[in-house]
Amino acid sequence: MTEVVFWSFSGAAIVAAFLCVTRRSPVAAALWLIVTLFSIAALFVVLDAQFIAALQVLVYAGAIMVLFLFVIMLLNLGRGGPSDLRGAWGKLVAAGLGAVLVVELWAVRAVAPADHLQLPPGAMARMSEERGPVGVITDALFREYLIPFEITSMLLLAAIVGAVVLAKRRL
Amino acid sequence: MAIGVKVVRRPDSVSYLRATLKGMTLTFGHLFRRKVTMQYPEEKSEPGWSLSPRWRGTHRMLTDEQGRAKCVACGLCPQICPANCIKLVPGEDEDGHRYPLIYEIDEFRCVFCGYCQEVCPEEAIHVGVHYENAEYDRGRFVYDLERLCAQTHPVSSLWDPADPRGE
Amino acid sequence: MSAELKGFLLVAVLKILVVFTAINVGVMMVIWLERRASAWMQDRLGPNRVGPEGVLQSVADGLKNILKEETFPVVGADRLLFFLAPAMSFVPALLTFSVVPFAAPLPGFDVTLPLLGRFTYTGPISMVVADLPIGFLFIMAISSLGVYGIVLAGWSSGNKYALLGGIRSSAQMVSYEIALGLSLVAVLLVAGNVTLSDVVAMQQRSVWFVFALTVGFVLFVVAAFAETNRLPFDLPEAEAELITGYHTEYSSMKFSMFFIAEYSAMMTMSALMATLFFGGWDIPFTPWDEQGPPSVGRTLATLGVFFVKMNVFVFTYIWIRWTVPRFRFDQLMQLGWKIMIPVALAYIVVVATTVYTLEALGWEVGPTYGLVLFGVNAVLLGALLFGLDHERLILGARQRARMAA
Repeated sequence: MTEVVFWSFSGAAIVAAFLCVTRRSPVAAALWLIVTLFSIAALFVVLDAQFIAALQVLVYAGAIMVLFLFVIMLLNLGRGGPSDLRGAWGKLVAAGLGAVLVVELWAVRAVAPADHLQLPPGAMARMSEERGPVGVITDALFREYLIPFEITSMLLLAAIVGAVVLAKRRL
Repeated sequence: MAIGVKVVRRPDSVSYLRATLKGMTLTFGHLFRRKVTMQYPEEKSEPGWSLSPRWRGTHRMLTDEQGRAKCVACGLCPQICPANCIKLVPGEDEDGHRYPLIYEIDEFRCVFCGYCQEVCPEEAIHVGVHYENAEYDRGRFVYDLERLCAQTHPVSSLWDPADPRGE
Repeated sequence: MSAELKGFLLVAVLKILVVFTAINVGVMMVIWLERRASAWMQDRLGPNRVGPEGVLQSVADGLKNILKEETFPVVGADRLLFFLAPAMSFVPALLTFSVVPFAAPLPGFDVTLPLLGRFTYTGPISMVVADLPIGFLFIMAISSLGVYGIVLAGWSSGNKYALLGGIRSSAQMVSYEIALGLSLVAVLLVAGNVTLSDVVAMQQRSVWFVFALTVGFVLFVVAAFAETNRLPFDLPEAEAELITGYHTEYSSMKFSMFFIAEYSAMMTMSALMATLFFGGWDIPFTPWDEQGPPSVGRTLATLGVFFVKMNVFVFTYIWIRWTVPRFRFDQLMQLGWKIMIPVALAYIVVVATTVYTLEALGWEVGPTYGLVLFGVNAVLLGALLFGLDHERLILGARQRARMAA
């Protein structure tokens, strides 16, 4: 049962991601990206990480992609435009970069993740049974990894301030 | 100026919440007020309410004692009609009395301005105090002389005799 | 198939059928209620012809809309998305109700039917379609998808008014979703879990969260109104400026689907307000509804209580719609970003501090615990209303002109 769910959603994610990069129209591409993100959320549920799945839908599919669409509509990019890949050189560079990516994925696949990152099967389900789905994440986030978490939030804040300063010179 | 315009001074500082709550009590109070709706096909009138005598509805031709139309086919009403909806073909009998051979009003084209009634020297054609005109056929909305004479509804007074300038 | 599996399937299918049928019938009733109540508030009678007092008006409208001709915009429209958009707003609106617990559990059963065999269900049957561990996060996630229906409807129509409606709704939804989520963090802090059945159980143990988290409730209600596109936040529709915005080009049943989506989202939000802040199916002042083995009578009584609580909020939605005029877009944005979000963030800090202090003092969650929180909230609410109300909450045209000068 879990296998069927896993394969159907990962298949959907791959197909949608492929369609996302091949569509001419930016709106169609954005919509396929939403399908990809949604399928990945489903995969998180399969992995017993319902909280992450909910956040994935809430933040990526529900908020960030809405902003993408917002920008696409505001700039009136709705209809398909010319492709970024111009000429033989562009295609050649794209193909080269793609090949590098495939090789990288192949290499990563061979390397096993570190021991402390691997959980025994069923561990997530047991932990969320004990602590609740939110508690599992927050314990790690606000105890073990508090410093990285705060640094990330400072980085994001800096990015926001920078964006505001760039966009609105006269404050 | 005929209509008094009430000028509301805006207050300098407005409390949004208090105004909203006040508005909400008002709308809630209106839930239980007496409703003004008249249940039309069943009730057509209620105490203290009647159709205005100045209402301008579908036409009616008045008749004399012999039941003939009062119209003398002078041609003033088709002349003044802004919508050009009156068709009049005059005729004359052996005594020299003029009468309409054909008198038709297309009620679909009519704009119910009431000029025909105002201009009529014989007080023959009138707009009526009447509003129920449903028919099953478009053609039935061209009222001929016979039909205009057969109408029985009250006719419009066009203006209030006590206040002819509408003040 | 074993008897347990059959019993489980029977219960699941029945719950799905009953809840979704109830929502669809409820939408019809709410549309009728809205039309009647708006008429009453304007001293009219409203639709009262179809069926007794007009209750079947929505059925007649639905029949009319099914039989009506569908029109499609031709120039500049995206046919496929134009087709999909109503469904994309309709499905999330229906899905979200599935995690709301609507009554006390029913007792299990063990019956043998002719031809079908034996059905058993051991333990209490919880009265919720799916008691997901992520609870109201699921509602947040799915209802945040509802905006796509509106945005894409606006875009695919190839109509500038519709497009403006779509753009407005995307900006509005994203802004108020943040405030909505932040107001729910306070609930999570006090309840300790996101599962709605746990939230209900917590309120049965202490006090209703409307007392413990009054400011959070106010924030939630305002954000929920904005999320469901209801007045005073119905800028995506805005009949006067945008000729109904995103559904300008829609006709017949596709138009109806937007309507059903709007009203079922409204019902879900009302149910959520009742569940998160008014104790869900809890009957106040009596422990009868939460103690002892489950029984049918208790389920029915709690269902009735939940129904009443939910419909109070549905009525509030309608009541506010016919009272308050629409905001200007800059007022909407400044309320969302400059007031709702900072207040919600500060509120989280206050609630977290209070909860932490109370727990450090070793207090158990109970009525007194709730009352302490209520005291904190009363002070906060008073300070907020006193400090924010005049000229800061909503900028009138005059203050805006003064500020520009």
